[in-house]
Amino acid sequence: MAMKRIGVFICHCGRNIAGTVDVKRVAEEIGKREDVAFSTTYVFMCSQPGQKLIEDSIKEYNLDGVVVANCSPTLHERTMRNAAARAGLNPYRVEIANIREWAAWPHEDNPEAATRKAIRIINATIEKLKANASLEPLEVPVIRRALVIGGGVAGIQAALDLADAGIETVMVEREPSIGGNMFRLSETFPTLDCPQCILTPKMNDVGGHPNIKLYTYSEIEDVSGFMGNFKVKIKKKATFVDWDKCTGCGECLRVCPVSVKSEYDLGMKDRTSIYIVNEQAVPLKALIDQDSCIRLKFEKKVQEGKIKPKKNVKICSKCADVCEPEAIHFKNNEEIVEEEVGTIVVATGYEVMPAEAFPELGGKYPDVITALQFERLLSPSGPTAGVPRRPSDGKIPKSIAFVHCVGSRDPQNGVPYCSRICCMYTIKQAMLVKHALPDTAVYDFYIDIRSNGKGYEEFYHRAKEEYGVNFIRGKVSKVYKVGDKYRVQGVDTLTGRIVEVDVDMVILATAAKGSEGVKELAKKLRIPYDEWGWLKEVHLKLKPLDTPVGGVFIAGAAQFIKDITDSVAQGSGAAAKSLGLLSKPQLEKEPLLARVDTEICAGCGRCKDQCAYGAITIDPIRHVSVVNEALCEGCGACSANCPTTAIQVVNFKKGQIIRAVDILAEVF
Amino acid sequence: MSNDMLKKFIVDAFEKGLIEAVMAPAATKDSYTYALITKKEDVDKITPIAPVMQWNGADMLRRITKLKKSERKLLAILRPCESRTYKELVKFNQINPENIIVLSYDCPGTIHARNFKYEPVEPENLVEEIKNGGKSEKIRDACKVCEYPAPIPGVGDIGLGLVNTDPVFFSLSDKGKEFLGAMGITEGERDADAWVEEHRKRREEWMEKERITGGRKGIEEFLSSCLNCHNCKDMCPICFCKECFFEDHNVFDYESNKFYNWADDKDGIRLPTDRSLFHIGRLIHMGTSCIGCGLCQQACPMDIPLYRLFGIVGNDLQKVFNYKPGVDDNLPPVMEFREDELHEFEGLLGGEE
Repeated sequence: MAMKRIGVFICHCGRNIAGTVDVKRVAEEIGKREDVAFSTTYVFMCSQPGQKLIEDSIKEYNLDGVVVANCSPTLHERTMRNAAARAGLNPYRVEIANIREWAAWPHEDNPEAATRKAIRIINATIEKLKANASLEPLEVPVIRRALVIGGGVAGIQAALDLADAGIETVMVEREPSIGGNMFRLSETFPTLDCPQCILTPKMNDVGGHPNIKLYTYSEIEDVSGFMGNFKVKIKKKATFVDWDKCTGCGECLRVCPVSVKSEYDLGMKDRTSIYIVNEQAVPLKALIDQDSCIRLKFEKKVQEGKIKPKKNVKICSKCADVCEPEAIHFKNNEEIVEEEVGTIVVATGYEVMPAEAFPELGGKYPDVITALQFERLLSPSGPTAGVPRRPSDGKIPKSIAFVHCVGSRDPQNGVPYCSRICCMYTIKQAMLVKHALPDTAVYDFYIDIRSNGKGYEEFYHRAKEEYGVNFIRGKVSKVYKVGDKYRVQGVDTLTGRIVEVDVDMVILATAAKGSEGVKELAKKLRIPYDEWGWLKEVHLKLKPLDTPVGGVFIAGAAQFIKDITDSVAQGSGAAAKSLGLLSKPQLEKEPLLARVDTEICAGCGRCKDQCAYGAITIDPIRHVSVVNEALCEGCGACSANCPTTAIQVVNFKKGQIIRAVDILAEVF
Repeated sequence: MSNDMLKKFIVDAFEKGLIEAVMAPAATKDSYTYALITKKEDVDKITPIAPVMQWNGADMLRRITKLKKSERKLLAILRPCESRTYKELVKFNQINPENIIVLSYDCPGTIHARNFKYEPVEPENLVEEIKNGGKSEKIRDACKVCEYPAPIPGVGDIGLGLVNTDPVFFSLSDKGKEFLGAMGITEGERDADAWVEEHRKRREEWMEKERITGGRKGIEEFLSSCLNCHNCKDMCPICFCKECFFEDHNVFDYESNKFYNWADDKDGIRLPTDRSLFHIGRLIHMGTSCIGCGLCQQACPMDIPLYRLFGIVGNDLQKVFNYKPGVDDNLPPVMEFREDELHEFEGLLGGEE
């Protein structure tokens, strides 16, 4: 039944609304409606006395519906619904009319128009509200297990926090070892800890935790289900080695005759075809790279019929010959495993743009490398044992130039945003060069130094004052080869002079982007992402870890490039978010979902094809659409595409919307 | 006579056990309806190639198989436009194609049902006209400018060629090939390209000439005699909804002040309201799938040439989405989500590029 005793509460929002909109007049006008039993104004409806006013009025006037005219429903819809519930009114009989963002703020210069528009917005909201149904939240069962995608520092932290809280946690990492980009770093700013020292304890905790099930060298194949009840298919990629038997002794590495660029060292070092990522890998297991292994390449060609093997031909099996536990079997052991979990934390991290993307800055030369590659050269466990050498000839550089903002803050050639971590790591790298090679000259070309963290600005001053790094404020326009050296051409914007220095190496702080393949993963999870591969949060400030898909959270650099401090904090945050869901025996879900009128539904499936959540199926017997309430997020895409009114979102029925739009569309 | 030949074909199919039922047009006193026949003795009651299309045959198949697949092996004799409708309705989950064999033929066109009632024509007369690649002047507008007057490979199963030839059978699908093989019929060929091309040339000219112009006023004038009877929707085979959105009283009943406000704002309004909205709304709902059978126009009691609206706008819309309803195998645009499309419309409303 349509509501007849509606209460309307108009908020002043201090002067935010009342400064422009004549709230008294709005209350009077709305009060004239037959279906409005009470209308009033108050300075802050969201304050406790404001909420009390709603509660008391519901009881006093026996209200059967409430419109609160204030700010965006994303801010206080819940506050007002809870207030109504305390007074015994079903919370879904409360609607918000946003007269602040829609009337007061955009029409500050025209109070009369703002007031009339506010009246109209409230009238439209009343029309929508009148046909609202009373609803009860839905209850959904929950599987008390979690999945963490990505084994970098954010994922490690999330997994450990979850596991320590007693939640069985599945971790999936696509590389053969966990550790992520942090494990590639030399030392970390501003404390100059070595990641190999501070991250390994956490990595080993993950490897040995009784509550953590670790899948490395594995990828997410498919995700189905819904909040509290996800089914995940995980592809364990082929290693050609039995990891149950492999002890990680490394004998095989010593005999393998093949040499290829190491992914872990970003091409700064070679590895063998059978390899262990590094000495501290978790898990410490060997695997064969099928693209370079002589034996596997040969077997593949035979299989494809490209070559015919001669009799008694002996193909390389040196690694298997020396393997004492007989772990190396050369068999394709790719398999798909299935896990059921209640929540998912996505911590897929970042990658940096390659130096080759910037030919004008010398990206094509071997001695012009990205800062992440340079981390390997500065790392004590890296290819040069921490003393940087030129990749081209192994000479110790006498001078090095660092270039900030390569691709960052540059929408034409890269990305429009600031990559956030570059200033600090460049300062750190300059410092580490000076540690290792005190006589090497260091030039640091920057636009601005952004050092907005605890201890960061002090760190910057130390680099300038204690280490004598030459900071030059200005952008580099060109890097080109002059003899054995590289000429860096730039401008010093503080003095206004053109600067030219000849150096032995150039380090480019290239822009960060979301990890490769993250968009495909996001599609499987049905979560949004932007054009640079960053996963989108629900609200940048207030819900930075949430995604629109209930039960799926994001953490660390997957959301946007961030440093270790922030990534670890977000890892813990996402773990806490997961725990919040997993600690309940049943999950509550908003009942604002799509419903099917089976009398009208013709079963054409137009709704099914539009559903991003896979919530709709066609009943083969009754030949009508059926909504899985646990999967439905109430977005309404189905309803918009239904040629009739067979599928509609509860409390957003077409009649309600059209009546509201009719009022808003009247001639002003 | 092609009808007799087809009837013999059907009786043969019954006898060989290849079919257990046939659906084809049958004469009534003033017109032709569809008949469902389950015994070979009744085959004489049908006229497979009828001069009138009172209903769309695919719509009849929808009624038979919507809830459950056809229980018997059914041969359906459909015109090319009907077999395209058939293919389109399968995509919309309205027809279950299992156990159905569709036979379609070089179509001589059909006569407007009302004209036929007062001026009947023998079925074979129309067929005679196309034997030498011509057409009758009596057929409906939609038939004269038909884009696909001949059977299309991949749409339906068996084709019957009549243009420039004695009747020949050919297969349109693997199922049809198997069927003709079992019938012991050798597939034949005929050259109907020029005949089809002529239809398409007329169609191009028609679209140029008959396009409704003059914007909103033009469309209001075009629809000015509309009775709001919704007959066009009832006859449209693509309008398969059980209850039309435009007949939903929850949406289209208004309080009196609404009418007065409109009248105030617009210096008076026409009643009943929502008449043009109905036609434009229907265009949006089914335009990309309009196969151009023209039954909307035949259904109009006021003789509004509705095919000029639905045929031409439908054609335009389908071009935008690069989709041929009832011919293409992919899903209709309203059912398919593409991330990358329609860039040519970006910024049209003054938004950012």
